[in-house]
Amino acid sequence: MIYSARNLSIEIDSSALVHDISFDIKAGKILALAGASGSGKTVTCLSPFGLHASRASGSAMLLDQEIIGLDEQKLAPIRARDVGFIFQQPLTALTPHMTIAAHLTEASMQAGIAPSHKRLVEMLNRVELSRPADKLRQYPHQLSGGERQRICIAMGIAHAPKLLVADEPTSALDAELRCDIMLLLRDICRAENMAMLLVSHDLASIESSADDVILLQKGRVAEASTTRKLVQKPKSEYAQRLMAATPRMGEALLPSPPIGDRLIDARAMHVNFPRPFQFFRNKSDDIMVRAVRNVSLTIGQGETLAIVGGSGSGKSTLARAIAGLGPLSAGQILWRGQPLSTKRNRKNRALMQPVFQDPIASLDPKWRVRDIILEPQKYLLDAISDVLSAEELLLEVGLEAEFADRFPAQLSGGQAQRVAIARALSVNPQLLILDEATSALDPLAAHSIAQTLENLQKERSLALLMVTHDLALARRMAHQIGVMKDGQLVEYQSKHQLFADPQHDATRTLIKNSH
Amino acid sequence: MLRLILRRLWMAIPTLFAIIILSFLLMRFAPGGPFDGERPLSPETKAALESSYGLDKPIWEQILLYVGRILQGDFGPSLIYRDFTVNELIAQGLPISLLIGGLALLLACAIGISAGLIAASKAGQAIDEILMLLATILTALPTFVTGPLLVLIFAFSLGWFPVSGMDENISWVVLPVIALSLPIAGAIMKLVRAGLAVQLSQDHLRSARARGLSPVKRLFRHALRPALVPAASYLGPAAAGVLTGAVVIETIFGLPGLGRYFVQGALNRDYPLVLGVVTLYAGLIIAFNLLADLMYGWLDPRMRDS
Repeated sequence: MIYSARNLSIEIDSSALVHDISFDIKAGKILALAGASGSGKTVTCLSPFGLHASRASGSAMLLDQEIIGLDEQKLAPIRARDVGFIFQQPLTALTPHMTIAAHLTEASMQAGIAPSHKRLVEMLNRVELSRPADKLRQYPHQLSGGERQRICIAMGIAHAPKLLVADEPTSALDAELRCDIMLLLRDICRAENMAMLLVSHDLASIESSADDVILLQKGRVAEASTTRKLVQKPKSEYAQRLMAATPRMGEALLPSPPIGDRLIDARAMHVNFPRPFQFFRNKSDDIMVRAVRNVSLTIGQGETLAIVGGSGSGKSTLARAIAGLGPLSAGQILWRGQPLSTKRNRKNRALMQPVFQDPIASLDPKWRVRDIILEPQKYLLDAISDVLSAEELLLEVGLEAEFADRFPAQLSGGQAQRVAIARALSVNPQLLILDEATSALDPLAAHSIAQTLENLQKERSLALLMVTHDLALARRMAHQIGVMKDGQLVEYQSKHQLFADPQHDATRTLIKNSH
Repeated sequence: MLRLILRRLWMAIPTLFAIIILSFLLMRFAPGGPFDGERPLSPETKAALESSYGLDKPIWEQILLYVGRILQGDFGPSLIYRDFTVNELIAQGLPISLLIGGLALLLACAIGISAGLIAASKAGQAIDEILMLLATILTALPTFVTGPLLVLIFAFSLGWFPVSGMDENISWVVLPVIALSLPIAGAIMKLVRAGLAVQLSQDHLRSARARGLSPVKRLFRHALRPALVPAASYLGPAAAGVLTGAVVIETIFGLPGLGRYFVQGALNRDYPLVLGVVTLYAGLIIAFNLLADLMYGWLDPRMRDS
């Protein structure tokens, strides 16, 4: 037994975060702690090692040594010797002014050995990084997110720890990379006979890697079993709800509601950004960053069009151009057959409204919900027919009328996103533009927002343009799916067509990497 | 790197040029002239003097002549110190000003960085509060208060250093350098403390802690360098502060540096002298800003590529 917890409880300022968790991890095995945000999974894995401000009680035995109650002076050498850590954000987990070689050397020194250049190259080969000799000389910011997470893994295992603690190691990465990194971690664990404690909010992504899983709900164990059992036959009610809320590629394709008149007809759209000014420019460089190239699409009344693609594929830029919030360099957008000017007038603004990814950040913290919701009406009043009250709008998005007097800080993430949707609806738009509108929320909240949107779509015959990295979500909600890569719409199909017979490599890769 | 230097030097040219023209015009629009003394000169003498210095020509012609001379490295004759050219006066004063200013900047960095480090590593404790209060006091106290105060204590009462002027023994630099450095040290202290507070809460420090690194290693190896970026960006304004502060300090300590010529020149409408010193100051400040930009790249490699 490498690591075992008995009746582990964690509290912060005498309010309990986690109650009575027990588990064991053997060498070569992976235990996943899963659950929604705020369920206590991260504190459970970090607090016993002194890496969180909370206080742990109960028992946690690492290699037959009790670590609960040890002070930082005793814990630091234990962390350095026996445990490796991998965190969520590879972008910020590395020290910006140290080269990769310096990072790896420091990590190896935990075991007391200064590594040779050859050994450093081996370490990078182990995490499947190409051109290791070049990488050693580089600084973290010169590498991509996936490469940096591989460096973090190489550092985490540099001193041959007995236990690897990985806190959401893949959730900051693209879907395509998530699979690769998860498999790499699994293989390393098996090969080095290392125990791994894995934290993830995404049940689908741990399915193929973790042996056992503990599902946490508000700091208590909702279900503990093997991963296979939990995913295929969840016993607890919470696990069942969670599994139902998570869109999966395997589920049945439901028929979509009918589509009405054509609202948007966008033709040959291009969005270019000038590159930052450079005094001495390489002649070969393009002066423009071509973020969106020659994209044409249509959206009908009551239709959901999903734009999917990896980060940097241009999907958000495209959505912003259609919403009139970002530049459109060339091309034409027709609304019911009439051209829309690039600079929108007030009537045009009321036709389509955006909802953004981070619900808290898109609400002014100093305003009451009522004022937030009604603000668009103030400026676009002459452009709209039906004027709804804040209370009516709140009810429509599934919140009680009492929320009107609250401030954004008093809302959960899901509630805040509902408020943002109510604000968008306040001017009776015919099209909502959703930029990753559910991806910052935990599966249950995301699912219930998605349902609310579907209901709104039926009642108002609202069109939805959703930008998402989550193909399974697009599969569940959309009529049509467009796949973007490097600024181009490489595939644009009805969802039935797209999944039955994907045409482009990018689509096939996306499907392969989705769960 | 070389590109950055070349680009900045290239951009410095129009900046310097604009500063020269602006200060030239400002000086001319200020009432009075170089030959308006307590005892008025006869109109004929004044006109003769003005024509011999070219002051009777149209202003645009004067500007052209002046800029033309500067391009040849000649700042012209002083109108007040009649037997000297501005170049000679600058050559006399500059070494003293550079010595005092340079030492003051170094001292300010040494005090500011070490005090900021101590305060940040003891964040929230009494020593942190005391150091930050001290920093506020230092930045708030003008040099014309601290200068005489230092003289009173260390020169008059204790007799460790000379009261004013220069002598054989180099100890005359101590008090002016300290007085000049204190307000800048206070500002750097605050910037370093704040920069470290930001860095210490970053993910990469948590990673370092997870690897079991000692607090000292975390502070020096992982936090300090990026934390110095705000302090480095203060280098340009700090250099300006040292130069203008020197005007006061040189007067208090009776030192024949550039600052004194600057004040005298401005009061007496010694156009070439003031313009010469202004051009020099502007050049120095541009150079310090360039130095700060080069330091960014070293402190945080992310800035090299952006």
